[in-house]
Amino acid sequence: MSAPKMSSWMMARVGARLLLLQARWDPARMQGLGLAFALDPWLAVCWSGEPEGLLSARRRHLGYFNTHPIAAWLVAGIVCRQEALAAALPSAAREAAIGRIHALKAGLGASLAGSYDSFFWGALRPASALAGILAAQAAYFLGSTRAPFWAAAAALLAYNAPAVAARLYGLSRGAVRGELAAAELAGLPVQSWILGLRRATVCAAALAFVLAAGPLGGGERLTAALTCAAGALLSWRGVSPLAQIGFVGLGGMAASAAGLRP
Amino acid sequence: MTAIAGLLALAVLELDAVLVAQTLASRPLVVGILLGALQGRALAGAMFGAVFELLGLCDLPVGGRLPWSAPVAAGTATVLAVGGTSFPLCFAGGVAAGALHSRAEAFERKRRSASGDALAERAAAGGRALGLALGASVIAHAAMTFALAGSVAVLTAFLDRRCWMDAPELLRAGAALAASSAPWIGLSGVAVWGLRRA
Repeated sequence: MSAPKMSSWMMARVGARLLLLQARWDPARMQGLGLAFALDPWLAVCWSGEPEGLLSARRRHLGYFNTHPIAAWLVAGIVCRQEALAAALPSAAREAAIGRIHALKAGLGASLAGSYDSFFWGALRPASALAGILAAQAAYFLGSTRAPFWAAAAALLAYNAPAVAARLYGLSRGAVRGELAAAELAGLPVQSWILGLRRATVCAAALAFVLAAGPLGGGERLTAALTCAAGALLSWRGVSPLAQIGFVGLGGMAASAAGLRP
Repeated sequence: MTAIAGLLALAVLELDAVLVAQTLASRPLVVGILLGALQGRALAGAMFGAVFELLGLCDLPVGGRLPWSAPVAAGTATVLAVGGTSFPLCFAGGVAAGALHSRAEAFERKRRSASGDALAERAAAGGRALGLALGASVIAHAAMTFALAGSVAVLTAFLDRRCWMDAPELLRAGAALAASSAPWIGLSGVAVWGLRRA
């Protein structure tokens, strides 16, 4: 029996359901129930002639699963391919294939989560936020009345252009190439992208400060610079921004009590 | 009426943060701008959105970590600002809503865990059990966000109208200084965060 091929319609169905991957996130199963929901239409196709096989396929995806939400698309594609292959095997040869599915889910989920977290959460997310803020500042200086909308559009576009591409590519490539799709990722210079984005974020933050503080009066500019310098020092020491704001509030109260006008 | 529309929009947009899609349509900058525009004050929304975006940028939602909700903070602060609440209280209300929201979400997650086994048993049999449970979870979360942000907004607006002008000067001065320093602290925090990792 040959393994079924995933149609575009089926891929769209699985992809749409993957948008609900974390809809019932819980500490015990994490994304497990969401992944089971996403895979269900494909499992029904793969195991259509075997109700027992379908039942056990559903059961094996209802347990623990966790990875980055975008990496989940690649893992789902690979799992779809492996399920199709397992269903096409004679019953006696299935045990190893099913064991491989469990191992792939656990191994790939954990290993991809590290690099996807670093890239999407730890580099692209801050870079795209600064892109949005700089777009608003640029639009404001150019006299646009729609500066806020440029900010929202720039922030969303800068994040989602790579994110949507990674989701679609991951699902389709995983469904066609299986494990090889994950191996192909290893050749990408992701670490240098991460480093480049983080450096760009630092430069963008400095530029945003110049653009925001530049038009202020002398005293206000000095206050902004001093606040930034103190904030940088405290952040370097590991004090969270919200704690710093609390300290500033207490400082302001003390200054007011001492008769100074903060 | 516009405040209710704003809170409803916040409840829907916030779903994107964890439960649905993660397109970052829930990022504070976008939430602030959209809610502000919906209520005719896009610039105020952009300001609070940018501030909370910078403050929340270094808290990564990795694994099961549940940082304070910057989107809820930005949305609540924007709704308050549109309603005419004073700037420091908008900021404080936003921070309170963001912190409370993460507590409520942690509670929600524990509750989901408790019913996970029973749901998995029903889902294994096929049918619509899992889809319905996912839908119910999304609706419950949106309702929680709406109720929580709304409660904090109402309480903060009440404080602003009834007590804030009579509050001790030192309290008002401290709150004003804290709120006005937030953008600079956020900006320096992001720069340092990037420097340490670059």
